Amino acid sequence: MRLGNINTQDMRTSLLVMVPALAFLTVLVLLPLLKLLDVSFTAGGGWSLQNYAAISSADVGRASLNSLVLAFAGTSIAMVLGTILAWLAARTDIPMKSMVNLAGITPLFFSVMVASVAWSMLASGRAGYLNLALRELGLPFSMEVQSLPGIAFVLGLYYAPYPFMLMYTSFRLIHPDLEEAAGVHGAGLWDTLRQVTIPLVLPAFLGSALLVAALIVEDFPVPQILGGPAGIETLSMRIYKLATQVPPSPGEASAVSIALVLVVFMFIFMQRAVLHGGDYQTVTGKGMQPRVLKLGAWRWPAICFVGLYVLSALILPIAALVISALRRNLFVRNLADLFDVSSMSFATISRTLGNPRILEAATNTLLTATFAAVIGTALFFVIAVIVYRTEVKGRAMLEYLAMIPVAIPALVMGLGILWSWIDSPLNIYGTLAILVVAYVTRFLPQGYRAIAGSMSQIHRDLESAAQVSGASRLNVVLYITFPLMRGGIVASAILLFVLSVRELTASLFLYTTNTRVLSIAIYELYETGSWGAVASVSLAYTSVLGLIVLVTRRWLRGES
Amino acid sequence: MKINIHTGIAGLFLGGAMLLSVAQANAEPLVVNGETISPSERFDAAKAEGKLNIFSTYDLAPMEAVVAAFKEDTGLEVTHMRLTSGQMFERVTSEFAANRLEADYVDLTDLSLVARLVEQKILEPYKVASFDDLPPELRAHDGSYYQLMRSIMVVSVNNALVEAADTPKSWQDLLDPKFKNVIGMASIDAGGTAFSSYAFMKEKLGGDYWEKLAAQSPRIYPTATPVMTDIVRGETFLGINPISLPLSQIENGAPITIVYPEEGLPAFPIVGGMTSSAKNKNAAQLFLDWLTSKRGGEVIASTAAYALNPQAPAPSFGESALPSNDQLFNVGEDIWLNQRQSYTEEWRSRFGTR
Repeated sequence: MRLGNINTQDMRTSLLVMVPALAFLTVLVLLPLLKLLDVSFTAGGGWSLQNYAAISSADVGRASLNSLVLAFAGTSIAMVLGTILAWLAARTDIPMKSMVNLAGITPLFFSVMVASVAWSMLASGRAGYLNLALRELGLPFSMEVQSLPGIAFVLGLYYAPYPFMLMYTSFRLIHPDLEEAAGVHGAGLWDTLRQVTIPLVLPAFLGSALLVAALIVEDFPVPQILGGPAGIETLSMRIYKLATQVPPSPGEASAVSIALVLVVFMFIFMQRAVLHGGDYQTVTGKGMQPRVLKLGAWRWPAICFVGLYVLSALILPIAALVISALRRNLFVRNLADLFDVSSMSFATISRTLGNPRILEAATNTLLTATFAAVIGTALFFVIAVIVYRTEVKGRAMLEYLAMIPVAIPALVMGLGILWSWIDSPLNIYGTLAILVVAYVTRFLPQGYRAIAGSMSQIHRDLESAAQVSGASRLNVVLYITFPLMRGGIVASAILLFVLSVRELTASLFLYTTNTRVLSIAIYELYETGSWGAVASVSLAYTSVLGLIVLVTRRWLRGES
Repeated sequence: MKINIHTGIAGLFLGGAMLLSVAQANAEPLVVNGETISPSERFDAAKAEGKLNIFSTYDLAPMEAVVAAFKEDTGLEVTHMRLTSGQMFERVTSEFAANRLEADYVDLTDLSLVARLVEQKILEPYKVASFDDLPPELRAHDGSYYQLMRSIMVVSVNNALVEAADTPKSWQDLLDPKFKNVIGMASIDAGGTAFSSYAFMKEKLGGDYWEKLAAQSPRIYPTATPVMTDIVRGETFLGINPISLPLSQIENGAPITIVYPEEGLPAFPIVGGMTSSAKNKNAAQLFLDWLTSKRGGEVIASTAAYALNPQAPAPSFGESALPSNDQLFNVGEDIWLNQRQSYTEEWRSRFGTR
């Protein structure tokens, strides 16, 4: 039995549920998108295809190719890293498991813009710290992060937490009976993995791969900071350039974005087609504890793997940031110079962190991120309940709508939101509320996926049982679904909070003098070339976020 | 009791007289260091408005210094937002179209975009108090806009990597084979700053300078800032920048030498004016009066920029004076308005679209 069989009462409920949900998503997602469409077909004051003609050039072709290469390579790296880490943390007896857990999530708390600056310090061809070290050690090779492989590496490092989180939950929720049954029937580790475990986690795998690929295609700061100086251009950089060049070409920027939206839509459609009809629900009413695999001698390579990831994603970049926050300037002659205490001081750090503009921005960031997390999570939960727990007609449309923002580059979404809200009767333009709207819209796919992912694995039996016993639909959601999912819900709220704190690109067109947020303040410092100040602020807020992870790691592990 | 009433009445008279004298003081023009900057009726009306909203593209730190001095001189409340030219144009035109433009004053670094603001009637003409004293080529004939401050593009050299003897002295020196692959510069699409330096090369250094420079395989950056940071850390050895960037790096002890090439220095303007939708029109006019006064010019000069008022001193930074006004090359209005597109397209064909 399913919740929400169609009868007259349900028809009324459907309308009651669908109309507000659709209206809400339409305003959030479709309005900016329609504005973009409108702008992309407008040129010279009238309807025109001119913008689309202008973007079908060899340059755009090259940029598209770079984007695809980076999406493929970056996603592959992120998926390998994230999946292995998740498997180690969820299903093996690897030592210091909580640390492995933290390692998988923490890089998400690092702004990719800051990470790119840090990696540029570490591994630029001529002056990178690591290259200085290699040269002094007399080693004949050097690294170049300002290249396609370099960019893919950095993207892979910092997008790995997405597959980690989704895969971790998925690995944890596989019912041990299934794997034990395979074992009983004589399957070895590999066969069990191949025939039971992998097929069961496939939806999470494909889902997160798609999400990461889409995020990488639209990622702007990493290719801009690392590829810009090397002459590498991606579609997102092209969009940014078109939108901000002098004079700006918002029409062409929108046209490129619409093309990008279509490509990502195709991916989402394909993913749905692949997953259609599968039954992946494994959490039922029976108590369960996932099986733990003994690693034996493999524990050391496993630990080394985790250590290497932590070194690359966190320790080295943070060390680079610390050095540049302390150094008076960026020039480093040699390795000894790098650690020369006489050229270091706390002046930059104290000057930057004492700046009232920075403090005001920090307050604004906390406010907007908190509101975005609370409002967003509530909204996403409601949508997920409608999509996965009712049979209301048109509910699939909600899911499509919820996934659209992943295909809209943040910068263009910023423009779309600016254009669609500026003349709305709801007077929120110029306030912090418009940033909350932007964050909730922009991170709808991530937040919704996180919630929907854990909901799709909770078997309806539990809820059906409650309903059969006479509970109302609302009570089922409140007393069964919600408690079962509270881990996923809190994780989604934290994810939203962190993503909102890091958000830069969409805010660029929406902030005003009184609504400057921390990422904007950092961007302004970057714009003036003050890497020391950028490093100081980044370190401060990375520590704050780090603290939040430590405090909330119980929830982030995805257990309920 | 009677006495009390009398003293009360006397007090009232006295208070009234004092109030009157305050009102008279309010009716005075804005005078700083003996210079009359703005007439009394405007100063008075601006004070009645009490505040001013500025949207500026000038670098954050120097603009804050300018705003602070203006606040001190006038007592007005000022809010100030900084954006880059492209963002500013998009914001201002969108907000204006929706009747939501908050700014009383707007500036941009690109004259061709300012011309569009004038065309769309976003900027409203206002002739400042010192209008007739200002160089006519640096202001609109009707006062729609003013090249309020100009900065210069210079060559920055990492002196830890390029020996003093090898340091270039002229733009021609940049074409020396030893600088192949080690020059950094911003794309022409980065904005008015970059455009002015390339227009200068085109107009002053000969038609083939671009071609020769492109043969040096310079690194092209999306904006000017990463050009500077890469020179400081030694990814590239030298490059072309707005002077504010190397100055702040030198302040932090970076090994940078600023070269003022002998053929001349491309100047780029911050072009500003009053918005037609300004809620604080008198305050905006007062601000323009002040920026174009000798006093405003002194403040602007102290931020290492060239002021519009001809009596303003040459800019300085710390101890050192910057090149004098006659070494500057101002991109003419006809180039901004008529050559912007064709230069940009030719530049892209030589250096690539970035």
